[in-house]
Amino acid sequence: MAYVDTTSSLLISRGTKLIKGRTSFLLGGFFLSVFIVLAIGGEALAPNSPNQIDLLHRLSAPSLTYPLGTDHLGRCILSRLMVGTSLSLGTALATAGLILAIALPVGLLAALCKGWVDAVLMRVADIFLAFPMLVFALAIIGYLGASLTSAVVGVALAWWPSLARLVRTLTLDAASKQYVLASRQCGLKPLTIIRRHILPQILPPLLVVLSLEMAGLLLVLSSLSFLGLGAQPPAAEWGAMLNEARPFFAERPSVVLAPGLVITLAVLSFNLVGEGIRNQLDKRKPYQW
Amino acid sequence: MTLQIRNLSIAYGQTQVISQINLTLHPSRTTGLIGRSGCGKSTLAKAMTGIIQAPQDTLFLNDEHFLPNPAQTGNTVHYMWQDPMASLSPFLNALDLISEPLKAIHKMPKKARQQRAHELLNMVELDPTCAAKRPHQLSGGQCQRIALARALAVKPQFLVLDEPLSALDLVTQEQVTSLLRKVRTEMHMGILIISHDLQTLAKLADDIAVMDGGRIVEHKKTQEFFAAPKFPVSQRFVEISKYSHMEHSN
Repeated sequence: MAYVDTTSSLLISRGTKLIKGRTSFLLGGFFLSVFIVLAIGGEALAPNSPNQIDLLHRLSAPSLTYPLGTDHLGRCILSRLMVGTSLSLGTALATAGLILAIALPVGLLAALCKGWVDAVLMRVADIFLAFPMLVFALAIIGYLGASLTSAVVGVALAWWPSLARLVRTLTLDAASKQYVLASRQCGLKPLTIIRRHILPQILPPLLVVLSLEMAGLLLVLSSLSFLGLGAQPPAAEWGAMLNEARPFFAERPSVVLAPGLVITLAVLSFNLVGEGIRNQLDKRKPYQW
Repeated sequence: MTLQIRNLSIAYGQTQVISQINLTLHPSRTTGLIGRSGCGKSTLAKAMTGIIQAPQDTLFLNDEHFLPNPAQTGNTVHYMWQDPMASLSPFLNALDLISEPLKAIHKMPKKARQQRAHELLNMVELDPTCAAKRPHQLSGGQCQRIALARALAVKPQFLVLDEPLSALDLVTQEQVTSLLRKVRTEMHMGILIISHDLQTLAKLADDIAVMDGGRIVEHKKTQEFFAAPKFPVSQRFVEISKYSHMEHSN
């Protein structure tokens, strides 16, 4: 019995140690996991078809058939939110991937080539940075035409310069390390040095920044859909759902509140997870006044 | 094959770090370079290996102009860094670190590469268990030996070692000293050793050059140098070295 007590107390102390200081990260991680499950299996888990119109039950209150009620066309809000997870998170992820695909080579080239290559690339980035990001994204979407693809491209083109500058700074620091110089002497080709010695140094902090940016991206993409510039009806996307529900807020507030809360929760999850990863990687003690 | 440095001067902005240096390295010979901290020893070594760009017409390989470039001429003149821990990637284990030049320079296939890397680990008398360890899991002395094994994997014609024994205990110093002697003879390598430890240089170097204020003030055969150091800075080095040796003996 005494042994059992010792084991259980050991487990409790280990559990407490694991949770201590990581509560927000674990909470964010939990919600994010739920979103990931919904993104993968939302369609199968949804109680109703997301696009099934039931005009007899439009703007109905929550019930057993429609747990979060229905929208102005009688579609199940919960099902649309669940199915919309993959589209909403998927577009945010695709945008983040596209931003990384532009910023990483630009930042690496600027830092490693130096000279005129660095000057030209960074001046181009400065020109992009001179415009407010959302205005610039709107201009690109205006040129390409309103669609989800345009929104992803527009946001990525407006967003890459700040990340490219970060990649450049991180690469400059990474490339000046003695072991990188030493590897050059060992005959390693530039691409091998980038792959083996520079990327392992710069990717962890970059992923932290990206995870924090994901929240912002999700918000911007939802805002664009809300303005009718992103996902187009009848696509189940959180921002688009907000946009469609706007005129019916007074009649049935839950139609607007449900997607709004889901967006808030997703943004919060990304922020908490990003903060958590940053805290884990940054072992410096904060300065105490 | 000889590596000649002729009238090499390097300045950082307005500060002249080394001026009018003349030095020749020969294969199978070891030259010791001593001097007080900040006199320009490491700058000279880095300029010879292309880590710092040397002015044109100052470096010659067999009387032909030689422009060192770390990415291309690492197997001609190779620099071994002062801090072994910082010169080894923390993302790779010892075996991968040693295998890097075998793949990149000598284009060896995987099996041969691994076999040679194990041979080199054995040559620098490192335990085989170290092969899978990363630099932060090893001691300073073990890292120093991995750095040396990697330098040997490059198989350069000339090897420049910056304070190669500073992180080692006396027993390991002795092992590395005999290893360097073996390497010099077996691989016909020309070696330049930068060190503050004259006792080690006495055992290793064929000739000793003394730097002071960015210049080589004295360059003699080792025995002659110890018998009759000419300049005050050389005399001081020999004096201190004898004194510390006597202290160790007592």
